[in-house]
Amino acid sequence: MQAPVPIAGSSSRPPPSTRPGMSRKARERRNHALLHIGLIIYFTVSLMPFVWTFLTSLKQSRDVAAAPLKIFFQPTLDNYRAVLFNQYSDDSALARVRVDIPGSFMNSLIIAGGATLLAMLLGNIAAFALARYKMPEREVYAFFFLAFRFAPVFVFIIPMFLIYQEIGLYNTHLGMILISQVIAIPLIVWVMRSFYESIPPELFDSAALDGATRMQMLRQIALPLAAPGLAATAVLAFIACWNNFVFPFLLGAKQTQTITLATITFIGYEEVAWGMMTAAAIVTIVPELILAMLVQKHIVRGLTYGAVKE
Amino acid sequence: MAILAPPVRRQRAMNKGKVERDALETADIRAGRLMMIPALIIPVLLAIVFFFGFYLTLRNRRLNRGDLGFVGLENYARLLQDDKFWHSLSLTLKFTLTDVGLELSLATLMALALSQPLRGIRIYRALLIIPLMTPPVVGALVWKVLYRSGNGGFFNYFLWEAGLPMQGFIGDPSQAIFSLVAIDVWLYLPFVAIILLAGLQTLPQEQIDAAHVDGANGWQLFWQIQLPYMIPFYIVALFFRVIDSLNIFDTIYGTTKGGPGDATRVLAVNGFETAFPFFNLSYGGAIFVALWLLCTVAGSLLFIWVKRSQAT
Repeated sequence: MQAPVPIAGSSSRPPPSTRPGMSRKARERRNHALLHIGLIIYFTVSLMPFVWTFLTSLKQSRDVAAAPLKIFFQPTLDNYRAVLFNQYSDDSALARVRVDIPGSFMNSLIIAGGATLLAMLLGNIAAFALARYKMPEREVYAFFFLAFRFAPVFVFIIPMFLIYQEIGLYNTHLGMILISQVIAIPLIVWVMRSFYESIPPELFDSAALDGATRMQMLRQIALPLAAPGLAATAVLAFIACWNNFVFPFLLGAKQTQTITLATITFIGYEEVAWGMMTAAAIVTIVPELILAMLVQKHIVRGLTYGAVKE
Repeated sequence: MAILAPPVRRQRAMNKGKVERDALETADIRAGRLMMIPALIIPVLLAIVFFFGFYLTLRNRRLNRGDLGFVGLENYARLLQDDKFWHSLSLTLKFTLTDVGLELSLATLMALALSQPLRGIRIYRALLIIPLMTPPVVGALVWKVLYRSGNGGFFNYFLWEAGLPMQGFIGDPSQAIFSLVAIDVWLYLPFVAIILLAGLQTLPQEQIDAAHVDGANGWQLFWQIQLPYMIPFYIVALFFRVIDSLNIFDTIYGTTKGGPGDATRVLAVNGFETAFPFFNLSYGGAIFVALWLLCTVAGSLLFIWVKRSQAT
């Protein structure tokens, strides 16, 4: 899938900003051409599933079911009409498979959005404290948060299932938002801590001399300086909550059905509503991709909990 | 708010001697602790729930029949004799080793390729993160479309056109687990690649230049300079990928649900099925305690490795 990597050809690697006149040696040019070919092959393979999913979502049900596979077909927006507006065409052999995608989309927005807002509020204060104040036990806090990233969620999902049913949080948006904190808070605390630590402490010291309170320092110095990181972290927390499958699956039902969960309900025991399922998959992924592209720059730091900085 | 020291007192403290600066530091520490509390509430409650979950495995709690009393370690004793459990454990390890091994090696190639000064490198990097943002369940569904059986399926259509035998992929017990590894590699190779790429980019250019002056070829450069330098980045990637692969659930639930037969019934799927579809919350919980132990052992080993690599 990938071309061999000609490291030897990179001996005269210029800094990225002065890239243009690189092809002095023919060998280097050949190596780069090979690399391009390898990368293009890789990305063709890696993006092909999306392309095929998109094409499938444009098919009528008889074209989806066709064997042998149809590469050329009469495209239709029926599947999107079904999943976006709940308008089912009579043509659809699977018209009885009805999944409320618009409603699930709203549920996902409420849960992931609400969870992100709450976690950003709680997590940023903690991240700032961890970065600024020398509590002797601060690594204990940090490790405690991290443990949730690495514990199997099911270990507390089984008891939570019983508890949620007991206290009435089962199948509620509030319940989903609260349990999602366990994904969002550790991420925000770790990533934002690394951003706050990179702010020169002198800025805070001089603000303290001017009589700034701690909350003023957080609001007026730390937050503005870490704004790009803040946006990236919020997006990643949102995506993590949006992508979560287990919580709405086990701690919720109809009222909290999220879009990831709804997509999977197109799979019946006897048949799969491929066309509508792929349309729903596209609807699930597109908003995330747009968000992710906006914060690409900080994505490595975010995904590694601040462990790797670019 | 209580955590805010009055500005006047701070000002005085900054101007005066060491005693007051110490007092200020104590105030900072107290304020820092108070600021931790809001974020800690839910995680602390969940930590308590974790112990409640462990207690639940010492009872016989059924989803359909309620609590049937205290059974001590019976669920764990049963675990040791349960062939299905051992099967899912070895399957989980097999999945994790294949998955992480492939991801690390392919991602190394990808990172080395993307560290070259290529034209259009930014486009490649943007494309790289696309699978990474996909919900695992949806990614699994996307692949389910590709894996469809018969010549109406994407892969099988091309095999059929080429005159090759069609494959079962996720429907074939001997191929299913590797078909799932393929999905997971597709989802997470970019994650490992961007970590390693970030590592490669922090390697000082002088070190690479010096190696070239010494006449090192690309192979030597990689093994003797780049790889040792990147060890910490590999460990970060391993931390995330090993633990997440041990916990693999979403992609399997979206495709095979553990089947065909038991061919993809990894620990998380096994535990989930025992606890919910089969109503045995306590025994399912015991399986998850075992999974938790496995993750803890793996995490600790990696942690020891970090400490060792820092020491040398």
